[in-house]
Order: sequence, then C-alpha cells, then structure tokens
Amino acid sequence: MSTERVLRAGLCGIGLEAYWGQFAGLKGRLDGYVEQVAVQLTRPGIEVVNLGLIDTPARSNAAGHRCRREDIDVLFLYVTTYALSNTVLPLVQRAGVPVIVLNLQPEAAIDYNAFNGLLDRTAMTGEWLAFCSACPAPEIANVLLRAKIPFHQVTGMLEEAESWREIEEWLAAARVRSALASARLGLMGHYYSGMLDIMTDVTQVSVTFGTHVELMEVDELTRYAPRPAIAMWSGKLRTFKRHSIFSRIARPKNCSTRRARRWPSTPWLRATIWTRSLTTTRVPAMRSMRTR
Amino acid sequence: MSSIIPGCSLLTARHIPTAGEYEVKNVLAMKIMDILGAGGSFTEFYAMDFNDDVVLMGHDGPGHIAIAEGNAKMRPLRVYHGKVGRGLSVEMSVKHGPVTLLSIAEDAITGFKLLAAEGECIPGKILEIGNTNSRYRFPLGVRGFVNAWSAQGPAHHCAVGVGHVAGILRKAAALMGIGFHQV
Repeated sequence: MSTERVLRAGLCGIGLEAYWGQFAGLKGRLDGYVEQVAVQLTRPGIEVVNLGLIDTPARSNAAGHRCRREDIDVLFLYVTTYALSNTVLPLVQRAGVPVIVLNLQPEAAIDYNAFNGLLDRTAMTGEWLAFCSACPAPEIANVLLRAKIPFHQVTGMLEEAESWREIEEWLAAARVRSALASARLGLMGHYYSGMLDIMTDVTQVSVTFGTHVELMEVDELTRYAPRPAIAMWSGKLRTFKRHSIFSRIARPKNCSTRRARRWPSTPWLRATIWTRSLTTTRVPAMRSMRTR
Repeated sequence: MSSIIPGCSLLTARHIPTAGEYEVKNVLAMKIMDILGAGGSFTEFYAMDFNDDVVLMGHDGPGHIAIAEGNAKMRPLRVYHGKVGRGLSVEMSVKHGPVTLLSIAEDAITGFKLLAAEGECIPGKILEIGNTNSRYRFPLGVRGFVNAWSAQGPAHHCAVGVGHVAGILRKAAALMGIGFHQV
C-alpha cells in the first residue's frame, strides 16, 4: 500500500465588510492575523492556499470556486471578528472539503484599563471587534449543521501552544484522509478460511476511504518481478547493512548447527545467510558452519 | 517463494504497510499509523499476564521493524503456526514507551469506525518464538482493557504504533465521516 502527496490546506479569514469603513485599521490588523496563521500553517509537506479575508457573500462565492481550482484537501476558516453566516455557506458548500473553524482571539483578554482609557468610543469598538471571534461561532455551527456539513472547531488564542497543538492534530488528520484517498491497496491471495472477522467489504473500503484497490495473483507478481539477478541480491544486502535492521540471524536455541545449515533452502534464505556473514563480527563461527 | 515475512517487514518499514492473512482492514490501520509517523505493526492478543498487569500482543506476520526496540532478529521457523510453509520470521518488541492501538471495525451506521486505545509498551520478558511480541499496559488494567476492547467488536488483529495519537485518530475519523471509539 503506497502513496505520497502534499497536503493542500486552504485558509481564509472571515469578517464583515461593513466594519472596515467604520473602524480605521481593523481590516489591516485582521489581514495581518490571517497572514500570521498562513505562515504558521506552512511547512514541508503542506501547501497553504491563502484566500485572504472573506467579508461578503460575493467574495465567499469566488473563494469557493478558487478552493475547487486549487484542489484543496481541507479548509481552515479563521473567524477574525463577527462575520455573517452567509459569507461562510457559499464558500464551504463549493469547497466540498472538511472545514475546521478557527475561533482564535489575538490575546487572552482585552486589556480593560487600556481599552477604557481610549475614550474614543469608535476606537474602543474597533478594538473590541478584533476580539470578537467567538461571537459568530455558534451561528456558523448552526448553519453548517443545517447544511449537513460537519462542524469542527478550535477555540483558543492566536499564539497559544494548546490551540496550535489542536491545529497540528487537525492537519495530521487531514493528511490521513488525503493520503488514504490517494493510496493504492494491493490484494493477493485469499482470506484465511474461517476467519469471518477479517472478511471485508472491499467496495466499502473504496467508498469510505477513497482507496484504490487492485487484485492480483501470486503468479502475476512473479511475472512482474522475474527471478532476481545477483546484482539485486547484493543491493538488498546493502539495504540490510545500511539500515542495520537485522542485527543477526538468530538460530533457535534448540537448533543444531547441522540443522541450521539446512534451513537456508531458497535464494532469499541464502541471501540472509550472506547478510549475516557480511554484517556481523561473528564471521569465524559462520565460516566454520559453512565448511563443516 | 518463501520467507515472505522479512520482505514484508522491510516493505512495511519503507512506508508500504504489508499485512498477511488478507487483512484489508488492518493494513489500512497500519497505513494510518504510518502516515502519522507512528509505525503501525500487525498485532493480536497473545496472552494476558495478570501478575504484571500486561497484555502480551504480537503476530507471526511482518513487523514494523522501524519501530522495534533495538534491532529486530530473524528466526528460522520450521512451522508457521496455523499457516502452510516455513522459513524466516521476525522477532522484535515494539519500542518501550507510549503506544496506540488502532483497529478499523465495521459500524452499522458509518460503514467503518476507528477503534483506538492508548497504553504503554513495558520492558520485560517476551516470548522468543520468532514473532513480534510486546508487553502492553493500559489504564484500564488487563481485565478492563480486554473486556472493553473486545466489546467494540473489532477483528482480532490491530495495528500498534508508537506515541499517543488517539486525539489525531479521533479527528481523522471525524474528517472521514466515520465513527470513533477510544477504549
């Protein structure tokens, strides 16, 4: 079973366009927070598609189309301030991928003294709105649940270890989902007769996990992989040596040397014997076993 | 073709999880653990040790040798138990420390569910019969754990990985729209 694919994570902030004209500096501040989250999400193996701050149904619609063009695997919906649910629904419906709502406040609490010292009530309201991410969280959940779109959330702070631990877990979970959906599972042979618990609806595997299933017979495998040449064996031996995976080929305690000499009866077993003589310091014992 | 077990163990360590017994659900569980960097070794209940409050778990199939405690050993076996053939097998214990068990089980509503348990791999004597074998301790104790795990109706195999990753598995189940249960 193999696969590997970069995870594409969509990110958008949500806000309310009506605020920008009313509260100077608020949009710039929230844009900065979205960028901060984008930077923190980015790492090897994850490509972040930053859709910016979405603040109207029209922008939500356009962002939804972009999600599809960008082929994202998961969408992080960062609630930066109060936002209307009608700026969320078009986006998540079109994106068609799991959505994680990030309800992250910039700091642990508003500094009440500094806040009340601002005196300008407009500036005060603008400051409060930068802390208002929790306000629409139930609203978004309500609409997603009515739309039968699973609602997942992280509540916390922008630079808080606990919140980011949660976000890391969601990223890992998204990677699981994405990797299984691009994995290929080969099935060869048959069930152990009678093990009813193991028998599986393979169609349901593809339906649930998106995994491609390929059936083959052992005979086909041997056709694809012809009898290995000596060069291949030595390559395999180098693998053993490089990784030091097998420290030694241990004989059973009750196995006589004579019997031990007999057990390598196939090319693979002979190769593993060579491994021992190449990789361990117990070569003299090995040699005596061979020459006897 | 012989001694498939060491070859499959090498493949498993190279992020190509390989399971015997046509174990579709378990190879998926192994793959999930491997995606998380936790390994994912094929295992089943071997015996209960009520004296030490540990469950012995292992398998005579491939082991995830990348999560072995020390080096894995190869043992020639004159018989594989219950299966035809003979040849080399892999003997190893999983790394001592935190572990997570994962099984994919049928679910009446969501098709499948993830069943997980977090515990510890404990140093101590294991069975030197050329199988993977480890000693695991769970917060519920031997009796409580085995009762609770079996009651969820998983197949008798599961994948063991290193570290505690049940939190991620819960989220992965949520993203895939399937059930989740942690013992």
